[in-house]
Amino acid sequence: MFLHTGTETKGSPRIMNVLLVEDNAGDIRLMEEAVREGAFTSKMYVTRDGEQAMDFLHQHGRYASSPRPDLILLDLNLPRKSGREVLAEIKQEQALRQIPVMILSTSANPEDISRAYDLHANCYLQKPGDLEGLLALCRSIECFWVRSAILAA
Amino acid sequence: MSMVLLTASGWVWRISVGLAAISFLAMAAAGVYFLRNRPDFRYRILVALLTLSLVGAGVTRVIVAWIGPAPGQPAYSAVINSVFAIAMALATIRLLPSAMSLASREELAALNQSLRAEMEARSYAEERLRRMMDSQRLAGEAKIGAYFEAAAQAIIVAARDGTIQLVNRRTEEMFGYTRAELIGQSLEILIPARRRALHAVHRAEFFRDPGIRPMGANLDLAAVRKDGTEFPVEIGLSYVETESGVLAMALVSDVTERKRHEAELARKTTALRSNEEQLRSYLEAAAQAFVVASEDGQIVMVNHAAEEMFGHTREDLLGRGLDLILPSIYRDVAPDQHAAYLAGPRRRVLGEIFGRRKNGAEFAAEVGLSTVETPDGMLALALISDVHERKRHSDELAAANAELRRSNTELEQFAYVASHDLQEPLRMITSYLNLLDRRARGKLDEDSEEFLRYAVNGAERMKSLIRDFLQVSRISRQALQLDSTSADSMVQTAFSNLTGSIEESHATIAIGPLPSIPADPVLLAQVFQNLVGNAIKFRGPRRPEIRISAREQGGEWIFSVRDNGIGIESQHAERIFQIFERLHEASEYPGSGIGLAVSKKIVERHGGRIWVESEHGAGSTFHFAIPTKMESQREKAGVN
Repeated sequence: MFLHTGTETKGSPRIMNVLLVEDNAGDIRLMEEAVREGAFTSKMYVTRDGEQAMDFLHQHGRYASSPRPDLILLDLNLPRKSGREVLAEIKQEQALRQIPVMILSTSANPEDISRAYDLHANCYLQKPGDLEGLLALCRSIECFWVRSAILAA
Repeated sequence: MSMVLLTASGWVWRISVGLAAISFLAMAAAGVYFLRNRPDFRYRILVALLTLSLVGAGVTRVIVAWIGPAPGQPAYSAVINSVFAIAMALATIRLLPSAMSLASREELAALNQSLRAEMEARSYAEERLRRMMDSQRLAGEAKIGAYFEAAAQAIIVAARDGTIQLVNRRTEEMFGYTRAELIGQSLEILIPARRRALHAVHRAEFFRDPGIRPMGANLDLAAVRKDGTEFPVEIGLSYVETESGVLAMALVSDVTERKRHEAELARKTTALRSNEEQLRSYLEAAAQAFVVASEDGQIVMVNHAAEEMFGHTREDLLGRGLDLILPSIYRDVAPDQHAAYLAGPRRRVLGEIFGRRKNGAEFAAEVGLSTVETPDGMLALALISDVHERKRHSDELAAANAELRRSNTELEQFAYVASHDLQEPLRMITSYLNLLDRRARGKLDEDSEEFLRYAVNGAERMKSLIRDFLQVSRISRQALQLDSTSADSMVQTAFSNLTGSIEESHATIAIGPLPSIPADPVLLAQVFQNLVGNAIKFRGPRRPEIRISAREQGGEWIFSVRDNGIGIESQHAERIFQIFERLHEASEYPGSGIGLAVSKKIVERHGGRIWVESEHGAGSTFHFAIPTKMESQREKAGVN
């Protein structure tokens, strides 16, 4: 488990916990850099596959002391348990299904998008092709889900 | 001599002699008068001599009267003399008018001639009348009246000497003579000059043994009309016995039409024969085997290919039953089927049937069957292809086709997936280059910064190539949303996407009347956008003038986008439609060279085609054709 802490913005009511489920080290590092660049104020936790993600959410094993995340950023292509399976399980579980799940994928395939929403994804985001795009996307996530949206307690 | 001496008888004498003298002189005067008025009279000299003698006689008597009578000369002789003289003079004067009108020789000759002519005319008329009456009588005698007249043949009755006795109405029509012109004439005037002599001989022969028979059997008989034209005839001979002896009767038919028909028939027959020969040589040359079978299933005709196919010689095949060339399994049913086919014949093709070669090998064949009615009965015609070979070829072809299609799809799929997956590492490259650029800018040496710039630039180009490729690929993969769409609205969509460049270039765009066509509006709008965009992008030094028009031709709408730009050299006209082809440096005209490839793909998906007409430096006209009917679009697009 990799755990990264974002810089806290002064004045925000509380620090959000975001779970990033991503197997690609490059993408993980990019997200970290986005946090470093100040695009994210949240605290980011990372799991590298679907099983780890479910363990994290159920606070199993080594995640026993992990917090319940406020937001989940979920890649679709994951080893062992795919993003779709993870999404389906989250949305079937009463304790978890209120957590907004954002699919973050390279795919723009309409089929992938449609299936994700069928499984009650809260939104579908395509991974931007360059750094500027990624920073912009992170800022808009921050802007909407952290500052604007009011989440279930 | 003295007057006193005169006696009574002397005076009587003198008066008598005087009267005689007057009479003679009067006659002489009449003679002179005659001579003066009839210079043409043949016997003028005689008349002149007579006149002279009369003058002499008159003068003599005047002298004598003056002298007086000789003694003893009785008065009565003088009286008698004068009485005669006076009578003669009176007679002469009375005759003078008649003598004056006495006819000359020429007049007489002419008169003579006219008299003779009149006589001849009368006798000719009489003869004609007689002959006509004879004809009439003959017609009556022969009891052929109405039938005779109405006959379709010319009927000519002639006497032994060849004179025409009787003809009917058809004779007049056929020969162009009137009846009156023919009756009494020699029959030979109706016969061409070169045959007249011979005809006379045959006529004589006929009269020696009159009978009913055709004339000149197997000979081409000819007759001649009044106007000299000849025509072919057929003549039947017969005879009539009359009081005046045997008459020959000829029934003449004009066979011009029939001869013409015969000639035509002969020509057609010849043509048919040569056709038949041609057909036969075609059949001999045909690659397909040709077998003709009679009603009872016997082979009556084959071609060379049939010999080759079945391995039998022509001699082996002809006259044999069809079972010779059929596999044994058909042998029992073949005759029944053959008979059934001939009973209800129709043209048809039998596939998946088998033939048998001489060596017993059986082979798959395709047989085209047809029939033909002949005087010898119904014939069945079979054109046989050895489909074994063909089937193998077409199977191979189909397999190769399927393989090609599969590998094509696979390749497309592969390219799509590959390009798609390439995006992932590219995203990493780009993003980290961005990051490096962001963090290290100003801290690297000049060289490193330049290298970094090239790396960033390369990654960006690759990104746009992959994006373009995926776009083209998507157009081939995605389903068309065909709808009847107004081309105007698609052009307007294109314009609104090009607003910036249109305004910037001050382009003038003229749009002709455009139709509604069955098309995917989004995709076709993109074609207009690409073409108009190119027209603006590749403008020359002049202000761009663009004209969009459409015309219907051969089941297609042909759209044209004409510009006055830099144009394209003709050797590049094909190349520009290929993906990533560019004719210019990116620095000169930016872009990845995808627009025309995309346009081509879109047009082809609509079952159409796209091409360019251009002259370097003089502008280009891009045309694309879209089928007017949706069905033909599907058909054509399906082929691609």
